[in-house]
Amino acid sequence: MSRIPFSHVMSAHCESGTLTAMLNHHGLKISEPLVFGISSGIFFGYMKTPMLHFPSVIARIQPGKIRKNFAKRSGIKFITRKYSDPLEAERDLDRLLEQNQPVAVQVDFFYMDYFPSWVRVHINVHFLTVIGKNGDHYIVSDGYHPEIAEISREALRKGRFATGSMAPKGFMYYPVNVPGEIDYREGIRKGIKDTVFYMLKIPMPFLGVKGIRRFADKIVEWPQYARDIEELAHEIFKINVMLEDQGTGGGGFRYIYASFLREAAMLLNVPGLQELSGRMMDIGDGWREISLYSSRMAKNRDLGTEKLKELGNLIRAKADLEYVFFNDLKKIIALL
Amino acid sequence: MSALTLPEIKLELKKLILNTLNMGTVNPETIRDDVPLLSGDNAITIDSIDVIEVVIAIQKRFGVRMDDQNLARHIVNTIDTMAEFVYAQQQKNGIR
Repeated sequence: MSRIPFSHVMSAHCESGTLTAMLNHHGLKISEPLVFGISSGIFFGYMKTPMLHFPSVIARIQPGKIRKNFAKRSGIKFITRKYSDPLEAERDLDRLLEQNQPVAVQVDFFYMDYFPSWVRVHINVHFLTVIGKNGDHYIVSDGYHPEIAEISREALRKGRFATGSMAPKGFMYYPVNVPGEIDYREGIRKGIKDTVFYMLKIPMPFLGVKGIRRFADKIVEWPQYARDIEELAHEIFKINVMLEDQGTGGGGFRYIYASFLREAAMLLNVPGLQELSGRMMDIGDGWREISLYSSRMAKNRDLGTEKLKELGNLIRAKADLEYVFFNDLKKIIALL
Repeated sequence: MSALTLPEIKLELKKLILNTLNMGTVNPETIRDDVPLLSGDNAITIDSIDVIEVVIAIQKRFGVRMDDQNLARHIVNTIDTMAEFVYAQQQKNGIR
């Protein structure tokens, strides 16, 4: 068995958690919320295109952007690679492990069989770190798992080369030349500035706060997309999954962003950010209530127009709160 | 509010879960502390829809918050993990 000494910690979100653990391993002390905030991880989008059978809702920026944005704002370089040949991907992985280099990989969560079967679903954009080998098994640090785990070569290969939307294609990365210390202040400012732009100013009616409003307005139309009440219930339940279940840290990533603002307040010495952190926690609570409401609707198959309207009203109230919140954040950041 | 002991928290949690999920006919003492509630191997089985009900019920009953630092999905695993979380929060909040 060969295992690289690696500090395993559980994380709120797989992409920011994997990146944080990797940076910590290379000697840079940074928290997951700071990584998430600097990379402008929080977002909102309501998608409905002819390609999509059902509307899709997201509460974070697109997969891969957390690392890219963080790299841009920290100056840290990452070696990244995708593969068409699984054997070549494994050879490179083995070589890097022999050089004591932990490697972050993108996988389909479903094949990560160290999790019990009842929690495994197909999500093609799960991230974890490979930290060693034990015979024909890899040793991995997965932020959603309480401890370091082992996975067979075959299962990891299936995960890394799963097909479908956002297929991993064997994607892997690791950082090079990580400094022991970074002045995060400019990264924090840039991260917040971009978040404010994404949430308030991005000129598309289905993104940012406008996306939350569209979600609120359009939810009453969802029955027309569903084949039957079972499909509608499934899609309504997915609101809860999107807000609470997909490694969001809870409240649709709002809690982790609140933690980021609390840390930013200390690093920038701006008490106003501390106050906004508390407000963002409350907004997270509100999204959690929406999770509960939609879960109950789905479970009870209580999916009539009035219920959908009420769900829309709850979502609209969050849009109102977030509109005021991000405008206040914009005012604070403009002074820095 | 005075602090509850771990066994008291466990019993409270079992009653709370049964009450929240309308499983009032189940004897709380039959629920095992160390077996995941989602696994199908305990006296009650909750599903992923129930998890958010349980999260919010625990937050309201015990005045705690399962945020990004606390990882709700990991906590709502067994009675043991939930009780340890509530107990730790009590200590953190200075409830003795």
